[in-house]
Amino acid sequence: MKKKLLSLALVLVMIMTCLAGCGGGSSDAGSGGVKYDDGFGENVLRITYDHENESGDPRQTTADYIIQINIFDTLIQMVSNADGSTELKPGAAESYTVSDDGLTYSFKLREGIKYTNGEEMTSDDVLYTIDSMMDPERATKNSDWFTMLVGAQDVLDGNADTVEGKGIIIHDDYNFDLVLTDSYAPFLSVLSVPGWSILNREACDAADEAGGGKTGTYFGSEPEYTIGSGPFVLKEWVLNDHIYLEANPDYWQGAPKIDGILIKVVSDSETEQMMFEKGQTDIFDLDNARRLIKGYESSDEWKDNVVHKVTFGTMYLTFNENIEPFDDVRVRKALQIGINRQEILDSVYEGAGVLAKGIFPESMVGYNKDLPEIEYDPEGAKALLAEAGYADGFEMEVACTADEAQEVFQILQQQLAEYNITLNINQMDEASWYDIRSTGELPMYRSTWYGDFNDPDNFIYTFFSGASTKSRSFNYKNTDAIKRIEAARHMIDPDERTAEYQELEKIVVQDDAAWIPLFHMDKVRVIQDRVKNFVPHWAGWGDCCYYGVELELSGE
Amino acid sequence: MGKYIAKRILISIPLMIAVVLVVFLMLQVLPGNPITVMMGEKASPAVIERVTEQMGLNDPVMVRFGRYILDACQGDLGISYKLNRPITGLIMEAFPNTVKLAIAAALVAWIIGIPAGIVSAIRKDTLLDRGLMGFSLVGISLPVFWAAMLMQFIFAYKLDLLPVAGFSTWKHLIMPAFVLGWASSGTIARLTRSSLLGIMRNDYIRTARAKGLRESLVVIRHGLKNAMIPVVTMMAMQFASLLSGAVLTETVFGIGGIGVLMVSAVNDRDMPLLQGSVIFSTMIIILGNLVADILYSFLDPKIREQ
Repeated sequence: MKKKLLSLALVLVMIMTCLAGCGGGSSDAGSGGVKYDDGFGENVLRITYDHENESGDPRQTTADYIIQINIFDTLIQMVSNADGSTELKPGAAESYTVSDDGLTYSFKLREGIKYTNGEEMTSDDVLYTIDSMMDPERATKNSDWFTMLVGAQDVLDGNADTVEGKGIIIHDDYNFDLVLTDSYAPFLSVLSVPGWSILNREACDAADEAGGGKTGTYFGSEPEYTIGSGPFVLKEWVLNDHIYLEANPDYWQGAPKIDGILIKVVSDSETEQMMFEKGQTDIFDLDNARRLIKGYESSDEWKDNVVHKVTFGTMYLTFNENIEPFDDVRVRKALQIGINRQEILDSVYEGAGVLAKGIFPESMVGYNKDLPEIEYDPEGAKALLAEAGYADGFEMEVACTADEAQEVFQILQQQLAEYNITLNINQMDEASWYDIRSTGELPMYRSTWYGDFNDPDNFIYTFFSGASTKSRSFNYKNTDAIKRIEAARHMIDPDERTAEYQELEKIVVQDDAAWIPLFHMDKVRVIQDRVKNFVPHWAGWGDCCYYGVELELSGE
Repeated sequence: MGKYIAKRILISIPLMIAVVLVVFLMLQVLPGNPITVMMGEKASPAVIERVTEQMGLNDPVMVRFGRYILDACQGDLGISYKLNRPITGLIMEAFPNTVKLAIAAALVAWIIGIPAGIVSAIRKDTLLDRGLMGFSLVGISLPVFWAAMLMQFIFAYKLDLLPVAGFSTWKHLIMPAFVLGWASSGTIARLTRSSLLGIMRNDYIRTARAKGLRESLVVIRHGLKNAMIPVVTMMAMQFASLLSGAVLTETVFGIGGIGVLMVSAVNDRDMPLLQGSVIFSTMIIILGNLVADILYSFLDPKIREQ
């Protein structure tokens, strides 16, 4: 035994000696122990992603927008105010007017916005952006943001080649109208989504030509061909290693204060943690390392550097009203008040979030502060179940994929056992989950919806419009509410719309108990001391525009 | 000799075709539409339906297989659903990183494994033998990801000697190469030891010693040369396996190789990418085995004669 231990010790000493001899240490590029061994300069913001980003082409992704947000311009920008509210500001469009009937939006582009190929942004680029997004040969993924324009669906269906003269009327290089098929109040907000990044016709044509036509893939992946007009330029993309966005010195709002953004792909959260704590990265997104939140918050070194942002999203549990006993509002209400949501938030999500009262997050335009809280009331839940004839409980099924939803349901299993409800967890693969859901047959599930633009329509229409309520397996039965939800998006008067959405939210959540709102999650990051003026994305996305960020350099 | 090699190559061709067919069909029978996963929560049913049709996923399986084979023969493995880039290009971009890591890891494995095996065999049943075999056993037994994290913690985080992760300089290569090489070296050391011990009991070794040859010459010229036949085969197969991607090591150290490419394809349900990378990795293994067979025939004349 002694011999074995001695052998083991010998081996460990050998390894340590061997490796200690090999390492020469990293070269210091900054002060305070900050070391960079990645070949990029000190004035570069370093962030990590746990996965490789999708295409940088706004037409080809519905998930990753870090490239688009930083290298393109949209006509309108959505920005955060200091109090957490949001505001629409002119972007590439200097000004706009809306016709009284809400159908025509007239825009004036800023003069002198240059793409990095030297081309100036003109009305024709807006036309190209719309036409190419609707081009049936391209298999684009973000067309939903454009179908409200007159003639856009015809182009997508292959019945027309362009929306020119219909969905867009060009007056000159800088003035154009966008014309809608029906009034759509959130349209200006929609124009701020990354899918509405204004592309340059010449640059895209050049990428198509070099990359094999419309199905080519150069635009969005090859830096040389991915031309934008935003504050940064796609300079380098090394697969599953890093993306480098270099500052655009000619950006129309002025050059960024940093030299660039280095986006490193590090899929292991322990590695991300070590890199951050060694100063090799500047921002550590704790979404995949929630277990570390409390540690950073209580650490003397880091507690002042933890940045919270309540996300513009709502985590929820669904009811499928086609499945008994969820066709009974008393049962739905009983579950809504009988679940201890705080326990789930604390156990699964380290308490990083706030309990949701309804459908809309707090920073939503027209948020209803007076919507009553959903209080945890086990006795009330038991009484409602008894009234509905389920005093002895029932058996129910929930569906989830292999993620933290399982943990949520395991806690629910215990909580619901108090009401004699047996909860069976049916774990399935993601593709099956989506497929079954689209047929309206998925039993209760947990999901989170993150808003794309700040308007109630982006939430309530997504779940409870006639087309969506089945495809998301709610099967909501209140036809009057559904009609009102579908009509509300066309209302023009902002005050009337706000009142209508507040009323609809109350009907869906309080009166019909059609879903269980859980939480508005916190996006938590920890940042290095040297990072200044970091403003999280208004919606709390992981993808941010880093245009305003400054870095304190070692010489300063 | 030429006939033997030609025969081995010919046997490999149907094997490769079978692999393509099996991988393709296995991925087709998985339930659900991968486009829904790719597009996630944000896509409307109308967009999912349109993109599914435009990507040709509504065509019958055999039509898609025929199209795949035809394209694959021209070096086109399709377009990644998620990354929207040609898969051949993605593999070619990831493969050099895997090759670098594989070469470094193999060198570590051979440099540690072969001498350790020889010394253990010569000093059989001594403390040194046990120490070296213990070291080998630890290398084989330690989970790679655990060894990787431990090394990261000690040498990068605590001692500040090496970078935590990344793959831009030679320093980035040290820890992943050692982690992978250590695991492989254990197998090589133990195989070298047992093979050499077996050989050293043969009559011709006794004859060599009786002739008065120095012990080192006996070991190297007569013992090791014959003992290396199974070891070289193992080395070739290990190298092929390293070339097909080291998933855990690449993940922990943030190396953009074939292993990470496959993991991301699985996570994203990116079928064309998964298909392409699995087929590529399998081809590497088949080629590795082919090379091992050929090496074997070079080292052992009896094989050639058979």
